[in-house]
Amino acid sequence: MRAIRNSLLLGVWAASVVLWGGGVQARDSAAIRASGHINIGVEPGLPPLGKYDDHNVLVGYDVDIGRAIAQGLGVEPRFVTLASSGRIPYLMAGKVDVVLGGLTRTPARADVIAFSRPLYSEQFAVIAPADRGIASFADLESGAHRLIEVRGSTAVAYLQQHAPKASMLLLESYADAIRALAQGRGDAMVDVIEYVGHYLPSQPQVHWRIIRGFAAPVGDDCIGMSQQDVALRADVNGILDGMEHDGRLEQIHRRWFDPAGAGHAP
Amino acid sequence: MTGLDFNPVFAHLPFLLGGVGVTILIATLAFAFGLSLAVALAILRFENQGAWRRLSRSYSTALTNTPQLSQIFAVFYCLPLIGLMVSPFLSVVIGMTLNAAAYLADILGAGMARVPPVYHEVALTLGLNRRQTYLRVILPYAGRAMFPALANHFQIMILGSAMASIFGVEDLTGRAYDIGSTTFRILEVMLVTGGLYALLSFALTGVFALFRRTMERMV
Repeated sequence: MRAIRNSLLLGVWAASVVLWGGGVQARDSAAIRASGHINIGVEPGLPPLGKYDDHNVLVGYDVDIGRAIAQGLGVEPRFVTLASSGRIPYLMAGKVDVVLGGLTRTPARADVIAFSRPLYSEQFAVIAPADRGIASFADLESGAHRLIEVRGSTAVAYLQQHAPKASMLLLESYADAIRALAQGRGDAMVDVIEYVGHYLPSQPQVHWRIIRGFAAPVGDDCIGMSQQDVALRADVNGILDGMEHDGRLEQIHRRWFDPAGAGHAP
Repeated sequence: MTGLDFNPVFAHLPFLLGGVGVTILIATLAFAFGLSLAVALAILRFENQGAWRRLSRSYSTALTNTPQLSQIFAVFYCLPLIGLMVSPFLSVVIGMTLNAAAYLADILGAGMARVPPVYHEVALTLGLNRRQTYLRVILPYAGRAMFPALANHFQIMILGSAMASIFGVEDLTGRAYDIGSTTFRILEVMLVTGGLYALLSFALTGVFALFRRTMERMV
């Protein structure tokens, strides 16, 4: 019993350190400027938003946007890599000052974090091997097909609302999800084709069918920030407005996205 | 930035608690199958000096020197390449079984080596064949001698089963991530989940202590 009591006391102490220690508070804009750097959360497994190039350097749309934001604030950008499921927890725990990574603005997320003005809009597509017999989104609504999705992505909430009968296997990354889909662990995936499309060539044996147009644009992708830091939000929005005005926003978008794709810069 | 709010987590508590059963089931199945395989591996080691002994030792060396995650990953993604489609749940159970067998064979092997020579002589005098000697003398002795180590490994497996969530299994950790991704209260849900794992572990400690006392009374 003494060992159990001691273990519990140790656990409470450890939790206290985590909860009330100095490292869990998000920094405000004054602290960011004073430190000379800004911590920017990006997802390296989500091209064209973020990826490692042939020289193992982090590149992508989000990296370019992050650099521009840091330049506008007059500080050095420090990129923190994370997964989809870690975007909001990292921000809420103060591990990053702002977060990108295809962060769609949704009412549920807006309850806990603040969003910048939109960077671009995105639209879902059904991605399925052609031999699974899926011709439209309506086929998924019956519940006869199993879906593979990435945990923490907006598509999960969308499917729970629009195809509640469909069973879902939730994996940790897009690479895992596409591999599992190609191997037959599921029949289809619903997500933004501009992201997922980069992984399809890794499974050349599969003939992929892409079905678009069943959903309205699902939302705007934005930069996530602390709700309390109104000044930082104003600064970031001002920088983005300036980038739109001088054409840099569109230039970065064209550089990384297929101009014929569904994503459109605002 | 925000204060802690456990209400969204408690609203999903029945769903979270459902994952406790899945966690126990995964660890129990993998431990039971792993122990069966470990008995075979330990006997191979105990009975042979040549290739079979090396094979058994090589198995333990290979699987105790690679991460369990890699082993489950291989089962989950590599078996389909040869036409074997195994469910995520079964993939995790198989991967954990193979891993557990390697460790448990080492534990049982050590226990079997501690059986006093006189026990073997008595079994021989009583006319027991090798199968009977293992079932009635060697394995019960080794099991009792190594019970703390075996029980400890089961607790490690309960905690290690958390990696099942990576493969889409809705165990305790998988459900915690699900709740975290919808409520965005990942810190709160992980604190509650950590507490549930601790309670589970403490409960198992009590069960094992009781089991051991009962076992000792029966001897």
